[in-house]
Amino acid sequence: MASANDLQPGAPLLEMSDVCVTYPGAASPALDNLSLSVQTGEFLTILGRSGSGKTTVLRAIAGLERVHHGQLSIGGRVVADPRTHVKPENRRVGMVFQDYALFPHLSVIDNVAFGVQDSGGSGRASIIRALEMVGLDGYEERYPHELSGGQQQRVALARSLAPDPVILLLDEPFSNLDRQLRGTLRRDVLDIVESNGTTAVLVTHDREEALGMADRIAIMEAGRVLQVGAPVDLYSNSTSSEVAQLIAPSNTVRGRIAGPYVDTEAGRFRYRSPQGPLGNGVFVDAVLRVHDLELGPWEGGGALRTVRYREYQGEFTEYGIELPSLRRIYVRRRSIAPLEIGTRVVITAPFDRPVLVYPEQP
Amino acid sequence: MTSLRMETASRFGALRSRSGFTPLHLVGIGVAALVLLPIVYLVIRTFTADSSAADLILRQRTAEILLRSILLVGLVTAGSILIAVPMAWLTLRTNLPWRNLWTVGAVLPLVIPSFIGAFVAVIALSPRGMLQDLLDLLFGIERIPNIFGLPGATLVLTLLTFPYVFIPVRASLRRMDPALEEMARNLGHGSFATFRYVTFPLLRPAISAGAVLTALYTLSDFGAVSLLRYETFTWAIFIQYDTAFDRSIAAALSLVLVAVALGILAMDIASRGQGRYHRSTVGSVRPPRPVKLGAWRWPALAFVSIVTALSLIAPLGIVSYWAIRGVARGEDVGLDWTAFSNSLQAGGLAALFTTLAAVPVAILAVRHRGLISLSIERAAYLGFGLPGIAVALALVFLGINVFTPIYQTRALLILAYVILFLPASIGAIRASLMQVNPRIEEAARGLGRSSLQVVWSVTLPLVMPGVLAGAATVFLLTMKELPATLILGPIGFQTLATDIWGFTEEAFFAKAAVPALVLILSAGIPTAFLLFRDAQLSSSASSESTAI
Repeated sequence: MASANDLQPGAPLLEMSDVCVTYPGAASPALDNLSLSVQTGEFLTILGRSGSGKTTVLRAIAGLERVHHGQLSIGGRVVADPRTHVKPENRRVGMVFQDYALFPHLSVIDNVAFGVQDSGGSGRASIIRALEMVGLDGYEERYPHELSGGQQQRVALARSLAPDPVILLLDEPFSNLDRQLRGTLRRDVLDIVESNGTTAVLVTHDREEALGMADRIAIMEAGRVLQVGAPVDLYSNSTSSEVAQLIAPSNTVRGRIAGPYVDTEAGRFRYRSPQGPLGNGVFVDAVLRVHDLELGPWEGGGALRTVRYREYQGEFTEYGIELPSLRRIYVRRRSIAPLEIGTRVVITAPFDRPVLVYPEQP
Repeated sequence: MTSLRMETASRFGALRSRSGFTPLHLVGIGVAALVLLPIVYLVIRTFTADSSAADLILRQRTAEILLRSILLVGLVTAGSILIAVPMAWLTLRTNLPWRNLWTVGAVLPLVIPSFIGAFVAVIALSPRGMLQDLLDLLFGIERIPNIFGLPGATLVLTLLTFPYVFIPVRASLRRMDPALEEMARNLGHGSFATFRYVTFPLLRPAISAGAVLTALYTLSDFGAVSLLRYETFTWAIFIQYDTAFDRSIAAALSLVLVAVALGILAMDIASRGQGRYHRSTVGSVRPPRPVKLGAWRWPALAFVSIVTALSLIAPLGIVSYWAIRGVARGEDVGLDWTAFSNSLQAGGLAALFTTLAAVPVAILAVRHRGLISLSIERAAYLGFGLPGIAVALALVFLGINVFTPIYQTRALLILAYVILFLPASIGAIRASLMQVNPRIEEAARGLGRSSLQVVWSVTLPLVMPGVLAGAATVFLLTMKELPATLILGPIGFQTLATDIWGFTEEAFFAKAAVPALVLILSAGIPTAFLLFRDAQLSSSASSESTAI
C-alpha cells in the first residue's frame, strides 16, 4: 500500500488529470476533463455552486464513482482510469459525509473502530487517539441518536481519521450545523487535521469556509476547475469573471474601457485587468465587489443613481442602488451616517481597490 | 441545470454499480427465473397439448367461466369500495363514537381465511342452516334465498376483502392535508361538493390500489367459491385437475386465469404511475377538525355496526359456538396435531426460503438500479398476481415431467410458497432498505470493507426488522394458503387449512370449527398486527398484503 511516506518530496499526493465522470442517463458529464493535484499535507478546499460537480470529485477520489476518461492517482499509484478501478475499500481514503452517515446500530466506539484493523489489539490505540483528538473520550458507549449534531460530526471525523487515511475528504461537513457551531468546528477540524499532518480536501459552497480553511482553493463550475491557488491570490487575481463572482459577493455590469478608467452605468471606475492590458473602447464585464465600493453624495449632473433598498446588518448596512436601466446593484457600507431611501448617490471605487474587468465573451 | 439534476440523482441513487453485472445480479436472475417458471411452463404445456391450443382455450365453457369470474370480481370490488370508503371517512373525519373500535373492526376481517368465511356462511345461511332454523322457529318461514352460488360468494368475499380498500384509503385520508379541503370550503363549496371534487380525487389512487388487491384476491380465491359452489376459474381448474384424465384443459384454463390476473396487475402498475399527487403533502399535517354528524350519527352507527357484526362478530362467534359445542358434547373435534405441526413447519420453511430469495432481489432493486435489476424486480413482483392454483398446477406438471425427484415431496410445495409469497418478503425488506442512507454503506466501503462485508456488517443489521416482518408475513400467509397446499401436498399431507376445507366440504361442521378457531388465533391475529403496522407506516396498499 502506497503511503505518503513513500513519495518523493514535492510530488503531488493526489493527481487527477482530464478526469471525466458521467452519471447514467445524464446528458452532460458531471466531471468534464477535470485536472487537479493535491500536495502532501495540504488543505485544499473546492468552492462551487450546487451542481458544479464538486461532490462528484470527492466520490471519484473515494472510488464511489467510476472514471470514464482520464486518470486519477493517489501516492503515485493509478487508482482509477477507464480500465482500472481500485475498490473504495482498498484506497485508504477517509470520507466525511454531509449527513455524517454514522452507523445507527453501532455505539460511538464501534463506529470509530469500524475501519480499524485489529481493533481489539494494536488498533486500539488509534481508536482511543482519534476519540481524544475530537474531544469525545467519555462518549464511547453512546449511540449516534444520543448525540448532538456537532458531536455526530466529531464522531464522523474520528471514524475517518482512525484508520490513518492517506487523504481525508470532507463533503460539506458543516452545512447541517448552526452558524456558531460551524465556526467552532471549522477551527477544531483545522487544528486536528494540521496536528495530525493529514492531507485533506474539503468541498463547500460557503465562501468564508473555503477561503478560511484552505492552503489552496479550487473554484469549480460545470464539472471543471476554473482556477486553483492560494486564497489571497484568487481573491485579488481572479482570472475570470466567474471566479471573481464566486469568490466575493459582487455585481457584474457591462463596461467600456476609456484610458485608465472603465465606464459603466454604475459610474466611472479605475480598473485592473487580470487578463492583460486592454485597448480603448473594448467592451468588458466589470465585477464590482459589494465590499469594495463607496457611496458619495451626488453633486449634480450625471446619471440618476438612487438608494432604493436598505438592509441594516449591524456593523454594516447593505444598500440597493437603482441604476438608470432600473437594474439594482448592491453596496455594503459601514453603518455610520446611514443614507435614506431615495437619496441620489455617486458610486466610486477606492484608489487601492480598482474594479476587476474581463473582456466580454464573444 | 442538468448537472444539478445529476447531483440530486446521485444523492438518492447510491452505490449504483457502474460495473454493471455483479454476482448479485446472477442470484437475482435465478430468483426471477424461478418465478417465471410456472407461467412459461403453462404456455408450453397449453401449446404443445394434443388438441390445439385454440381449441383448448376458445371453448364456450371458458367464456362462461371467464364471465362468472369477472362478474364476481366486479361485484366484490364494487362492494368493497362502497363499504370501505365511508368506513374510512367515518372513522377518521367525524365525531362518530368509538372510532378506534370500528377501525380495528374494519381491519380484523382479514384474519379470516375465505374458506372459514364460507364455512360460516354455509352453516349459518344454507337452506338447513342456523338462520333458517331460527326463522322457522320464530316465524314459520321455511325457505330463505339460496346462499350457494353468486350471492353467497359475493357476500363472503366482500365482507372479508373490504379491509384491503379500507387500509390504504384511511392512510391516504389521514395524510391528506386538510388545508386542501378547507380551501375548497373557503372558495364556497359545500361539504358534498368538497368531497366530490377535492377529497375523492385525492383518494382515488388509494382506492384503486385497494381495489386491485381486492380484485386479485377474489380472482385467486379458491376456498369460498369451492365451498359455495360458484364455478369460477379456480374451482373449475380444480375440478378439471381432480377428475379429468387429460389435464390440458386445466392448463389452458390456468393460462387464461394468469392472463386475467396479469391484466389486473398491469392496471395496478398504471395506477401507481399516476399516484404522484397523493403523496404531495409530506411533513407535519395539522389534524383536521372532525365533522359533526348530528342526527346522522345514528344511521352512521347502524352502518358500521352492521358491517362489523357481519364481517367479524358473526364469523368469530359462530366458529367459537360450534367449537365450544363440539368440545362440550365430547365429539371428535378434528384437531389433528400432525396437521397443526405440518402447518407450522410449512410456514417456517416457506419463510426461511422466501427470505433467502428476497434479500438479494431487494438489495438489487434499491441499490443497483438498472435495466436488469428492474426486470428482476418486476418478475419477482408477478408472484403477487399469480393465483395459487395456477402456480400449483404448473408445478404439478413440472414435477411429473422435470423435477421428478421432488414431486410429491414438501420441497415442491415450499417452492410454490416461495413463488407466491416472494413479493410480500421483498416489499418488507425493500421498505426498510429505503430508509437506510446509502452514505452509511459508502462510509463502510471507505473504511476498508468489501461490498459483501458491508452487506453483512452494516446493511443486514439495519434492515433486520424488515427482514423479520417479511418472514413473519410469509409464515402466516403460508399457514392460511389452501389451493397450492391441496394440490401439491404429498399424499396424506394435511394442514389446518386442508382439514378445515375437507371437513366443510363433507359437512362435518363440528369438526371444522376447532381447527378454524386454532388457525384464526395462531395465524390470523399476528397477521392483523403486521398489517396494522404496515397501514401505520405507509399509505399505499403495498404488496406486503398479498392474498391472505
